[in-house]
Amino acid sequence: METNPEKIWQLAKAGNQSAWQQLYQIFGGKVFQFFLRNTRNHELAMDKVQEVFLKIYRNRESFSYGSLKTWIFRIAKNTLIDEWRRSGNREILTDVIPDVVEADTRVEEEVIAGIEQRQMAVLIDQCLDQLEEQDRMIVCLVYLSGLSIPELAKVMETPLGTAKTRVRSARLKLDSMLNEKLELKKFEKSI
Amino acid sequence: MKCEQFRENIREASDLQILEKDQEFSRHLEGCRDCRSYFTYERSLRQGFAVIADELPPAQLAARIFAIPEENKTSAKADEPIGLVKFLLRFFSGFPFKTAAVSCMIGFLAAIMMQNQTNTTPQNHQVKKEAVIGRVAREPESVLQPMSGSESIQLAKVESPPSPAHKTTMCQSFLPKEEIKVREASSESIPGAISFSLAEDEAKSYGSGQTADFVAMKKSAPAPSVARSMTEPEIRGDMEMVSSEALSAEKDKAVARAMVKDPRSAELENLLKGYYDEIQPGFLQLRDLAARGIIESDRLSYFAPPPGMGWFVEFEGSEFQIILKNEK
Repeated sequence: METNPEKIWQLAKAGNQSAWQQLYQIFGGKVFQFFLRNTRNHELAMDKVQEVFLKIYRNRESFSYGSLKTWIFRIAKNTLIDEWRRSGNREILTDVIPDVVEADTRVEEEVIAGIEQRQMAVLIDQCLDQLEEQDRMIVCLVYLSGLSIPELAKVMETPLGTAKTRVRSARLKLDSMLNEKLELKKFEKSI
Repeated sequence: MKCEQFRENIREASDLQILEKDQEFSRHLEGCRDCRSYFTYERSLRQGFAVIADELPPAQLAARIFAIPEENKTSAKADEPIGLVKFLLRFFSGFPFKTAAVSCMIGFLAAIMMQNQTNTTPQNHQVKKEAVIGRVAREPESVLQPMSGSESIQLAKVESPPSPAHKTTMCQSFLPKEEIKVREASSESIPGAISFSLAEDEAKSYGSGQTADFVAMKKSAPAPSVARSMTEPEIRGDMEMVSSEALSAEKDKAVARAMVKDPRSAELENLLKGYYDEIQPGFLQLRDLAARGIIESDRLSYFAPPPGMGWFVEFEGSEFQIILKNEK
């Protein structure tokens, strides 16, 4: 079975239903989680995933080379921004990136090691909910969808430096929130 | 490597396992407790994200996504590149162009019809004449003789619209004027009734739907009596087509013979036999005959002819006969 997404895409584009299903197996879950964490609406997330795949199918001729993952998540990102604008009519992704100072607090290695993956996932989900929309989107694209910084730059259609700055800013905010939650966990354990 | 740079590398690394294999990275990790703690945090964070990412989407979403290619096959065909002809057809199938195209087509057809109308009107008229003449020509030779020139003229007259003077039926227009007047005089004085009666008589006698050529042939048949005249619709081979003049003369004779049956004409003939040398062909003047003592004065009213008619003396060889005839 073919594992290269681009080759699978070529088959799916030619009308291979099996390849199309395989494509969904690769990207469907990540795209769904991307929308679910950013909208917090299960039904809306499903609709948006369907919308993304519909756009992919209808515009299949426009993608001929490059990273399929980058192309799919660019469509997903634009779809999410459209949804935000539709619902809240707010300006998304301002060019001004606030300077975030790295937190001094450090959680001991033993405390972190003592937290199960499932517990960590719950904490991350709680922190994502508290993040600003654009930071949450950046974090999700990089750490949830698995994009590298260069890939993020392509998805966000920004220079690589800007992408790095955005990731750093979003990460520091997330780290700060998580540290607080982990400190709380440490305190609960000590009790 | 500084701790800040070290942590940045950790954050931006797409795969932490690759980073661990780096010797410089490993040395710094062993010597720096904070960075080791941060690395552990980063690993735990990524595992936490992996748990979230691995959560399966609803099964119904997969069904919806799998159905997309099938549902969009028709629209995919529409996206295919099209040729110039198809493009033009699509372009002109829009509302304004469609309306304009229909208008142009209607105008074009109207122009063609108008042109044909002006060209074909006389042609159609000619075709109608030829159809009538052609019908005669199609009849078997045993029935029809070749038409004379005067008959062709008569056919043309029949086709021409009736003049206001002839406010009778079409059948009447075939008859000589004298006979029409006789018929009118002998019928009820309701114009419409006369027309209808004559038309009905003609239809009965000639058969409905007959054309002028048939009527003309029928008239040229050997002079029948009134009782048996024109009752047989068939055309016999011994019939001859004659000109309109001959037809008129034959008709007069037929009418005159019909009048011989009047008993008064026989009485007059008996009275005038003694005066054979004095008799001249033409209308009799009853008062002159009464003055000469041939007719008794008190019988003048008895011999009085119908209004507009008179007793006509007609010689056939050495014999004469007296008939009622229209004075005009």
